[in-house]
Amino acid sequence: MPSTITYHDILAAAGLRVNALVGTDPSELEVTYSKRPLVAADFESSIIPFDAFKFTILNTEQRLSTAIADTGNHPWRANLISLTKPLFCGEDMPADDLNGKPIIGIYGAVVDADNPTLICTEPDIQPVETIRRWMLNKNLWIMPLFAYSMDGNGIIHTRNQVQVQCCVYDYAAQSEAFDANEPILLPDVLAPAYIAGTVAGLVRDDEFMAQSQLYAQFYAATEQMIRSGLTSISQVALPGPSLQPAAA
Amino acid sequence: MATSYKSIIAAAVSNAMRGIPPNQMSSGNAEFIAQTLFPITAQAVSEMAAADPAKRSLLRKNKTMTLVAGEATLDDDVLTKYFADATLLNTSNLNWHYTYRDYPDFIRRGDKRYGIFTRNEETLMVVDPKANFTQPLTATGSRLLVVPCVVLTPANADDDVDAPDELTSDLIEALTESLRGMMTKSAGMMV
Repeated sequence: MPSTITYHDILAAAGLRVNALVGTDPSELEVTYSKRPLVAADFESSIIPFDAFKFTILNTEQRLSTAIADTGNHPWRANLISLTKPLFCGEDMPADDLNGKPIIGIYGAVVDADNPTLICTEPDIQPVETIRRWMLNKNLWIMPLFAYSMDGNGIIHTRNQVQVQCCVYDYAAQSEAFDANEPILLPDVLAPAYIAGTVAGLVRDDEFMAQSQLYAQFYAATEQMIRSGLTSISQVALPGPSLQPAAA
Repeated sequence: MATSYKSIIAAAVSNAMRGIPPNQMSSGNAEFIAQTLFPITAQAVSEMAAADPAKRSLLRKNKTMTLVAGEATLDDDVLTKYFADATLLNTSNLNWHYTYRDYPDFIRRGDKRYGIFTRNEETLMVVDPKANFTQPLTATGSRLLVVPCVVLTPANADDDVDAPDELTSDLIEALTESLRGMMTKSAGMMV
């Protein structure tokens, strides 16, 4: 199911925490906080410009995406999943997927390009040597083999062509999605992590230092959980700006 | 029921993986190894079956040999160790009977009521009934050789392995054991 929380929901939550939203009393603040889409005129911070919020939110999303993409078999890889172009034996691994989007994280399964339900496996013992023997003496094996190995920059395999499952993150596309106030790329349950990562990054000189550290701790814990393969994001109650002592 | 080559390989690999600690064998490697072991195992199983007179007939195959000057080249799958157990027929004259002779006895001829045949390297040599041994030989035409043969690797993975069911199960068992590293040169001992 696609996410329902939008980029501007995150933007409003982050803006509130650094006192950036327009509004001098609760009702005015409520109007700004609930407005969608938000625009630069809805922000009045003298130290953090509107575009910095966008960049920091997308920066947080990139970090979360990288953590997910770095974790094999993580269920949230489904939000980032793609395939490489079909690769012949000996081809270099591409930097982009078959749609030209940048590949991030570790690879997933290697599948036969003609039949993606047939997954190739890597021989546990001497994978490169085993496949090299196959390459040089193909007539020895009349039954189809589904093996691959990655060594150096490339991939060798025993099929005509294979495709490698991978994760992608396209900053330009997400930037457009942000501008259009579309749903966040990752699952809704990561909204607290989006907010925490963003607030952790919204620090300038000595402004919001203590708050930033608190949110950074929560964000780091979330990222660590993701890298451990977990998907349960703890809903830690974090004190907002009003409960923080004034920055030193 | 004939069994395809790929079915035999898949059965042997599956059986071999049963109960094997994952760090002792990779199924990915096993599929490579099983195929290279197939001809070796098939040879061993064939020889063991042929050594048992009761099973030897399972390996006998009909081969049409066209004689030129009393000679024809034997196929590669002929189990030469048990060639003496072969029979030869002239399908166009079933009254002609042939019996095997070792080469020294073949050239000496003997009772001319029977035709005789022998093997010299990869060559079948035939002298028809009533004929003398001559150099060159004189027999011509088609003969049916029924001879024990090894089980061969088929041309394609989907092809059936040309072996009776009784040997197919032996072959799967031996291939399984060999995949587990338990088969040595005396391969067919477990069958």
